[in-house]
Amino acid sequence: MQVKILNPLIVISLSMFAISVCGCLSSENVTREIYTPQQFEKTPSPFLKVHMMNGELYVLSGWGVDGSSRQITGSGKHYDFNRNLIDTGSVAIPLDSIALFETNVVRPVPEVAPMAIITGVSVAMTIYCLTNPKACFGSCPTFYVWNGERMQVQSEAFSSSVMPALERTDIDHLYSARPPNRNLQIELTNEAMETHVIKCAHLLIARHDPGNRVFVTPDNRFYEIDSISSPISATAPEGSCIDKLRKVDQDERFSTADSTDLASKENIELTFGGVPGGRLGLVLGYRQTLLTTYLFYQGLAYMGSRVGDWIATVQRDTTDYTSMVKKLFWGSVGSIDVMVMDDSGEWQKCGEFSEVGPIATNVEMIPLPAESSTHIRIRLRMTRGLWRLDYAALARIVRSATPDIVEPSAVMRGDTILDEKSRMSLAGAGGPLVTMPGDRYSIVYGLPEDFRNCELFMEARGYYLEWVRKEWVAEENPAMTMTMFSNPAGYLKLLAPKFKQVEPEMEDSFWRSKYVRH
Amino acid sequence: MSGIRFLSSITCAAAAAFILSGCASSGAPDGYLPGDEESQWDVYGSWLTLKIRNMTGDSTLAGEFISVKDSSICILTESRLEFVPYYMIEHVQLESHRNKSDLIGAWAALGTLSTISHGVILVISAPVWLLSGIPMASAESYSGKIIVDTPDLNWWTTNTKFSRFPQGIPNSVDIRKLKLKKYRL
Repeated sequence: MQVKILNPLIVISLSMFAISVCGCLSSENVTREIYTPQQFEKTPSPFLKVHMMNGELYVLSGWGVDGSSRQITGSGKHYDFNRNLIDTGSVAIPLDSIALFETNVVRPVPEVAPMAIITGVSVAMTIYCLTNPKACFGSCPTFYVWNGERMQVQSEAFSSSVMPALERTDIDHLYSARPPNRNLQIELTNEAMETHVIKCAHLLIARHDPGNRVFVTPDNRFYEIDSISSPISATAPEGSCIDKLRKVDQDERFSTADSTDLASKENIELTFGGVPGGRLGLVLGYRQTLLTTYLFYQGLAYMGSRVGDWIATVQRDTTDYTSMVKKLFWGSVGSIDVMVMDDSGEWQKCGEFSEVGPIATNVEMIPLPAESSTHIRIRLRMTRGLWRLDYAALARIVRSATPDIVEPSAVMRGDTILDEKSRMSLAGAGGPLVTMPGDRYSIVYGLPEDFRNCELFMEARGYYLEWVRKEWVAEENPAMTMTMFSNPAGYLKLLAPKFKQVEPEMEDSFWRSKYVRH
Repeated sequence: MSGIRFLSSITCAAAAAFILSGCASSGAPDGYLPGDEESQWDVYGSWLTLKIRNMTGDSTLAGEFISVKDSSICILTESRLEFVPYYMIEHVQLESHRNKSDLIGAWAALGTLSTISHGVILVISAPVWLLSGIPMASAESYSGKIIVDTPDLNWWTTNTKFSRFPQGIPNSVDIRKLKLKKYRL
């Protein structure tokens, strides 16, 4: 028989629960009153203490007042003045021998209720996180920008850069940014159990004509567009999803993963009518579900205590292992392939959206091949359960754009302006800015006078290191680690049932576990 | 601010709140006070801890609240029966039953400790535990207690209900024979 030692945290939680149930939930207030025989009436007190003229005491239960014979009746105990027990049983006590009555009414303390509620929530969170630790953590450097109503997370930087070898520059469209004035304040946060190494955080400013907008492509080219139109139909396997794709509002279309193969694909077909002439691009607002987060954390769990060795191996051999990691996370589960139906009715791939991360919605554009028809049919091919689509539109490209690079003018923590070194770090001219869980910075950028005719993008470079949790190490499995690297397709099939067990609650748990002001 | 430092700040703030809010400690010996339910049928007087001002300075007297007689408080200590004029009493702590502040404190401590398992959300859940548990434990520590400075005779008369003889010491009672509850465990 296999004997497992209970996780100490489970013991703590169960102890806490036991205390709350057995002890403190029954915490009570006692109200004591005394009455003379003349004042006395029946009270809700289950016990009655009868103080006698001679100093003796009766403690009665099941008592009553017999008005006609002027007696108190009941059963209980009789004590002398030193509280030695004299007798036990039924008694009838004449009122004229009684000095005072004493009642004690016990009432529950309502103030304990909030702690009981906190206990319930906390225990549930503990049990969920202990049984499913990969659902309770995660993010990457997040940038909050004013959207006209509130600070909203609009960029998560270099989500795929999970080790130094995978350091990259990431450009995110601050699509919903509405700067109130020329001093744009962006909040940079570290909201996960991670160490973030940020080597630069530039603001890119792309000027455009009034009414136009500028979009960035997945390969970081910028285009100004002058018109934009929604699809006339959008068909997913479950039916029409066009209502989900009309605007960037986080009312998203998404599906669940396949139960036998996490790499299983699905198609969404978009049709655009009344297509304007000129060069066109498909604009897509999207982000990932937690499938890649799960795959990443599960991978770290399988590496277990050897995770440092594996990362060092990847660091040393940036050719093979780095490509293996990329192949696993971005090759097998894949991108959103964009295909356009050509004149012969064949689907032609013209690009792919592949930004990693479950937090901020990415808005990007892929230029389409020259088109003569007034109707365009586009197929989005992607892994089931991996992508959340928020927005799809067709845009007419008017020209390429070249954004200006703006370095931070100040870096603040709270109300304190930090020294030049911090500013230089984020400007890319000094050493990196290293942030720890809970860190929060405000970065100030100076905008040009005509900032209302500018599109804003965040360009950040760096990488981050996930903190391996003790619970993960328990799942160390060298065989699965090798399968993960050597046979990603098979690995995703093996992992499918395990993921399906947690998939229904994972999103909810993730967002509750973070303190993102989403 | 790093996460660790943030947590430290929260802990310090909570500790400061704890110190400022304060918990009332019990002056009663172990085993003397009944529980809240037991107090319904307990037959002894409440426990008094008195700070007394006299000619030679301040002293402390602790024992069972026996009664109020004339303008004196009758208290049965472990060694003898004392009658203390009310005007000599500077400070009173009267305890009628045990409270559960220790249990609530342990509850809050375990709750705070359990948030280690909450990942990043511990930054929220740990302070929630501390900021709810500490005031709760502090408030509970006053349950079953009345603490007052320089009470007048009216206060004593009102609270004579907590004594062994709220009706006053009967003449038939030989006060030399009064004995304290056998509370030793």
